[in-house]
Formats: sequence, structure tokens, C-alpha cells
Amino acid sequence: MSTTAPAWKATSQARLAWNDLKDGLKAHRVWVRLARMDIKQRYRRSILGPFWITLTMIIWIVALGPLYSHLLGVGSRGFIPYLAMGIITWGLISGVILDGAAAFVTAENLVRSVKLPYTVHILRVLHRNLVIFAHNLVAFVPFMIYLGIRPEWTWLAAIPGVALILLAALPTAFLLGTLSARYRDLQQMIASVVQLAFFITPIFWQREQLKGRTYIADYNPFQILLEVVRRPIVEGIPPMATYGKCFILIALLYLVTAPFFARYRRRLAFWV
Amino acid sequence: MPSIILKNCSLDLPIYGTINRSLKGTVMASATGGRIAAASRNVMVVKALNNISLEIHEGDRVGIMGHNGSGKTSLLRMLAGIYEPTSGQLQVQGKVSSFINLGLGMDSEATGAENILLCGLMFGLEYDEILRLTPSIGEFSGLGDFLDVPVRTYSSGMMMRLVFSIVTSVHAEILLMDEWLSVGDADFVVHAKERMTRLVDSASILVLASHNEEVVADLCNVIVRLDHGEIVDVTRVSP
Repeated sequence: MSTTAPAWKATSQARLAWNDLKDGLKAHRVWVRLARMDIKQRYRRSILGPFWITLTMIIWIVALGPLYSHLLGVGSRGFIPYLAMGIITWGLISGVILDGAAAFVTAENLVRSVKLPYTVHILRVLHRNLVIFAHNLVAFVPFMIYLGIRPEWTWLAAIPGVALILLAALPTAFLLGTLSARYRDLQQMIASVVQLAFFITPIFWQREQLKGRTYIADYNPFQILLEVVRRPIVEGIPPMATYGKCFILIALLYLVTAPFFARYRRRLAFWV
Repeated sequence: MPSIILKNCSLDLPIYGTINRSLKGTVMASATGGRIAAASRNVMVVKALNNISLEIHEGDRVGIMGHNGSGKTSLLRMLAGIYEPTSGQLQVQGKVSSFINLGLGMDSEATGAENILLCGLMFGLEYDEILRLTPSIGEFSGLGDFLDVPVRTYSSGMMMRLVFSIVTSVHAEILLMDEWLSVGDADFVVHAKERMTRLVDSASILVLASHNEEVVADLCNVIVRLDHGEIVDVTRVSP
């Protein structure tokens, strides 16, 4: 893959990590192709193809929407879109975390046989999850028709929201992917944490129901990322505070991951 | 002008056991600090390559010979840029294509043709370039209709044919190959040797790891013998 490999010692590790990111972004044909093959492979033997994911999502929402709106004593008309967008967006967030942690380990063969920027493996995971997210979004359409919801201009604000999630996912996947390559039991730990986060994040319930303890939702990084996509669809443009928190979160992730990746990038090939 | 220059390159490969592979194990070991735990916490390091200095220039066909575990594959991985040397300097100039793993990171569920496209992209080719090359790759591999079958059904010989055809078609200036020719049948080996000779004539570098004296003697003009990660002998055969 590499065209002119530089003399290693002459270039600093930070520079090499930066080149990795740049070359990885440039090799978009490679990761788009890899992601597409991943999805194709997953649904190669099913009749519905990728829309199997969409159908699963519809079943989830149909089964859980009325139940939880009844349990919480809120009208299902307002609750079902909230729940649907919550679950669909959660799928993207949890997907990039879990797949991101597995990014290097599952690409082991590739890492050890071809010189590719490590960023390619991360972007492959992000792209794959973005495509699955798009398939899942289709699941929202029948509910729109059934509940008579019309699209509004404010919905467009969900698009930069998705971009923010991916922007946060990039350093997260680098960090977790590298650590999981070194420590093989980390993936299971991450899976349990993500599962726990699913319950302590307002998806099945609403922030207001926390009453005096809304801080559980307000400082929950998962909730912050959910809100930038869910809120434009359900309520309207999120408040500036939400975006502020989102940017702080992303900045923190990059601050932690950049030196980490610069330092351990060269060891990755030994770890996978 | 493709060239490879190694100056005192060493490579330490860490070998991880079960305990230091797990976060829980590592944390527990540091908490208990007993003698057994302390011993298992240390990661074993194998000196895969030691103080390698070598210059390879345009037109060189380098055969790397040595026993199993003498560092041939590690050296190839280092030249490919997959492993970075722990110490020393390495300079590789030119576009590299490598055949180090038999699978080459292919998607086993995808067909041969799809994998040609994928590998082409990984070696930095453009779509139309790959589409132009695909028929000749298919033809050279001799796989015919098998190209439309998932590669997981391939035998190792067929896999070798496919990967060999791909890596020798991508117009790399430097071709790195591990000893895969041995998997092919006699017919294909003759074919493959011919193609490699032609590749080298087009002013590129070939680095071939093998323990087959005959193949190396046939193809190479520089023979490097590795033992325990060190170069014990470099022989230049004058053409």
C-alpha cells in the first residue's frame, strides 16, 4: 500500500500517526469496499438482505413502544417516535463502540499481511455502522405514516448530529480498538458497560421522569450524543448547551486518544 | 528508483501469554505481586531479527534462505512496513506489493473476482485499472469459473494461484514474497517463475523467502542466509 515509506527514525511517532490518519482518509475506496463486503457477508444468505435489520427494528418498536408508553403513563403518540429514534440512534452509538473495540482484532489477517494505514480499519467500522444506521432509519417510516407525522425542517439538524457521533466515534474506536488488541478480555468488559449504559440512558424512559435527579441524564455522554440526533426529530433544535457538551466530549476524546495512538501505533502489529 | 536499505535493524517481537493478554490478569498480577504472578507478568520477547544490514538495489532478486523460525517472514514483514524495526534504520523506496500471508486478508465469503477488486484497491490501484487487469489476473491464475465461487472453498494451491496472480499484476516496484510457490503444482510453478523473471527484468526488486535451494538458485542473484535472526552469509551471483 505504501508508496514511499519514510525512514522511520527520521520521522517522529506523532508525525507517523498523523500520516496514518491522512492516508487512511485518502484510501476511502478501500474502507468503503471493506464495509460493503462486511454488510453483504452478513446478509448473504437471507432473502430480505440488509433490510432484515430494518424489520428487526420495526418489531422491537412495535413490541416495546405501546408497553413502555403504558408503563410510564405517557401518550404513545409522542412516545413512539421518541423511542424509535432513541433505539435507532443507540444502535449507531453502541455499534461504533463495540465494533470499534473489535476493529483491529477482527482485521488481524489484514494487519499482518498488507501494509495499510490503521485508520482504514477504523473507518471501515464507522462506515459499516453508518450504513446499518441508514437501514434502520427506514424503520421509522412506517411509524411516521401510521402516526401521521410530517417531516419538518428542523429534522435536518439531525444530520450534523450524526456527523458529531461519528466524530466522537473515531477517537473512541482508536482507543478501544488498540486496548482491546492488547488486552483480549477488554471486549467483554466493554460489552457489559455498553449494556449497562443502555439502561441508565434515557431511551426507554424520559429525562423528565428523573425529577430531582436529571443530572443522571444531563452528564451522561451517551445521552448527549443521543440528543443531537433524536431531539431534532422528536422535539426540535437541541439547546446550545447540548452542543456545547457534545463538543467538550469530542475534544476530550481526541485529547486522550491522539497521544495514546501516537505512542502505541507501532506496537499494534505485534498485538493483533 | 526502487531501493531498500537496512542499517543495523533489529526487531523484538513480544510474545504474550494468557495472563498478560488479559487486563484482569495484569491488574491482579500487580495487586498480588507474588512470585508466580510477577514471573508471568513479564512479556517474553523474542529477538526475531538482530543487527541486519543489507542494501538492495534496482534489479536485485534477493533470495532469503534459512530454517523455519530463522526470521525470514519477520524480515519480509519489516520490509513491507508492517513491523517497524525496534532499532536501526530502514529505508524503503518504491511501491511495495507483498505476498506474506496465503489469505492476504481476503474475505473468505466473497468470490475470487470480488477479492481481486478488494486486493487491487488495497495495493493502491484505481477501479478502472483493476477492471482492466482482472481478465489477465483471472487468466494467469487459471482458475476459470472458480473465480465466481467464494474463496473459502479454495484449496491452498488455488488460493496461492489467485494471490500470486494479484500481487504480480499490480505493477509494484518491490515485490515481497514468502515461500508460497511450494503449494502450487509443477505446471504453475514453471509459469510463476517465468513471470517473476519477467518482473525483475522490468527493473524492479524481488525479495523471496524460501528454503527451496532450487527456486532460489533459479531466480535470485543475491542469496542471503539467515540464522537465528542474523545474516550469516550474503552471496552475490554475477549474472
